[in-house]
Amino acid sequence: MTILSPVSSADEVEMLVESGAGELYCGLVPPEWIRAYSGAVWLNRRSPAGANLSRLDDLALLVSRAHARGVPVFLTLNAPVYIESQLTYLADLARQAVGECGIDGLIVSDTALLLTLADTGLGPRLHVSSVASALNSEAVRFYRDLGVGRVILPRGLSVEEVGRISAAVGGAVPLEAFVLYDGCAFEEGLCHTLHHHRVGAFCVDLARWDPTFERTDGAAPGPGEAARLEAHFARHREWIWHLNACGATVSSGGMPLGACGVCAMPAFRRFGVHAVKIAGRQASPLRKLLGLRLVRAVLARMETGASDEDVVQWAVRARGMPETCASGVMCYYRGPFTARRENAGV
Amino acid sequence: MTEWALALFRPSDLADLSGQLQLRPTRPRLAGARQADARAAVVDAFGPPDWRRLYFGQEFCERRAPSVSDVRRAYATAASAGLAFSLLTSYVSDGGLDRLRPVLAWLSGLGDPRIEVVANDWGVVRLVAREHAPLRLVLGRLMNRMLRDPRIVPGLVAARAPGDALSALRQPSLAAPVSRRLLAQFGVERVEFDNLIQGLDTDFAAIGLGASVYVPYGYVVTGRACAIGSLNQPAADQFHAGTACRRECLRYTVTRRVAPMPVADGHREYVERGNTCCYLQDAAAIDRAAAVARRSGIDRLVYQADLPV
Repeated sequence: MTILSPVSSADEVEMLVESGAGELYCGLVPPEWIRAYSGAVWLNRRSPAGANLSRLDDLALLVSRAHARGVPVFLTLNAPVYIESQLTYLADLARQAVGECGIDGLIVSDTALLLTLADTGLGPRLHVSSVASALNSEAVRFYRDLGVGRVILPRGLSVEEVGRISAAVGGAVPLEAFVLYDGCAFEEGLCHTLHHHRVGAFCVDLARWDPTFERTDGAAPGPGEAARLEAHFARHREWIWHLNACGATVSSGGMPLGACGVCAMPAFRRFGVHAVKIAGRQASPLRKLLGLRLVRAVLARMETGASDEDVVQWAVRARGMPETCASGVMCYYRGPFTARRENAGV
Repeated sequence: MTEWALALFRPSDLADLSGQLQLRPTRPRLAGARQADARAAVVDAFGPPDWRRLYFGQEFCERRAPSVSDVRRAYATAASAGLAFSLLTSYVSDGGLDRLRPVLAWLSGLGDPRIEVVANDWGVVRLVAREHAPLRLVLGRLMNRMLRDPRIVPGLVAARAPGDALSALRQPSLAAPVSRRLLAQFGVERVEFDNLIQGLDTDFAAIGLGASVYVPYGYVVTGRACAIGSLNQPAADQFHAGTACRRECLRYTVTRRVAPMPVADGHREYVERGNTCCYLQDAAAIDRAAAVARRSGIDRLVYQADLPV
């Protein structure tokens, strides 16, 4: 099992590789894209500012530094949808990224772009983005049939569901699963909103707007019922806050908080999941580094033969917020992460 | 000519198909009044209903997927009214595929060439194409991933977003030749869309695809972690895909009004039912849908009698 880390600058490569990144992924938004579409149409899943490189030269430098350390680099072309004229542009950009910069893989969600790139012989280099919502074995087979080299599973799956997909198709196409940062309250590929700086994430906005409750039978909720609903949606608002990096806070030990799935790593390794992914190309170098160290430390314990329970207990201690971990509000996947639980649902 | 399809999402809705076809409001009080306004706007924009099909099933929640007996009843109800039948299906886990398989087997066994399966998951597309080929595949509205953010899209349209942005926001990748090749491979002859705020700029008749538009509810987001579905669970077991809900979505609807509005012209009211957030289109939006339908060769209107969850 290898660790896929985000990178947004050539200057971060050495730090990330030395800290355990086995693979890197980044984004590129050339100036001509911004000129054509402004900030209203994103080239990939992240805002052009902060999370992306802007020049092919910078990409080539980043890749050369990673390759010098034996680490592959993948490029995100994972906007949910592209139009016909963009497909031509992106095919050319992909050709340059692979041919001139040495990019090893392309992370793509739109089937039109997947097919366009597969037609140019890039099929084995294509990784299906989590934005494509491959939530079941048949969907993974659909993408495998297109000739892709990897499928990234959405965070909305349970550990049991990842196990079932892996058992059904994992041998035919390598799988990747998220284990740290940037949770989604909704299914990522089925959220058709912008995280534009003028509005922010829809889920965060939604949770902020006061709810009113209506019963389907037309009766008004009783006082106790209304209070219970209000308390429940207040907890829902707290859950969304936790998914979104807990307001960019850190634990008492300095560990960045936010969505996490490291406790599922032992299960993922048994399932044969090829890579575990850390989200957050837009994160600061420090946040990237600390997250990577956590994931690497968990993997190291697994490699020394520690039991699942020991790995999970260690991870919870390392996160430095045991009560929050116990509450489940930061978890992509819910535990307990024992073999008995996983097998029960498969 | 635009044909009409009535979309129903609960088995209980089948009890009064006649009333549904007369577009009687199904929700109480203020929500019902708004539903009546939307119905009037749809009739004004598209003309009197020309019912041809019944859509039945679930696009958003695999747990609410109808059983074989529900579908049998829906098919019979449609047939008795002289309507063709379309099964709505959702995005699914493997467990959801398990529940779908017997329904597909029953429908394909009928040998009715007019039956459609509206697929909102590539896994469902593959399953139907490989194992239930007699059923006609329709690519559902969740399969087109165009921007639907009602907070900001009205502002982008009003401000005439710079460069080619607005043009890009109006075109589906499903219309690209490479996508049409894929659709043909799976026998898909129809693609479906929400009534997009920014409009839709493709001539479907010219490219040989049937196209549908859904009114009066637009969907914004959906996901597997259901807020209301966690209501009766312990705190540590809430808000994740595995939460064992008690179908609280059948009991409650949650409405949220935006305050303050971050972008001028943004939509102000959002309605959540179950795991999905929608908004009710106003008369002007529905009027634009009719204009887009005429211009783009959209030949089917899917009228949602209620919120689609």
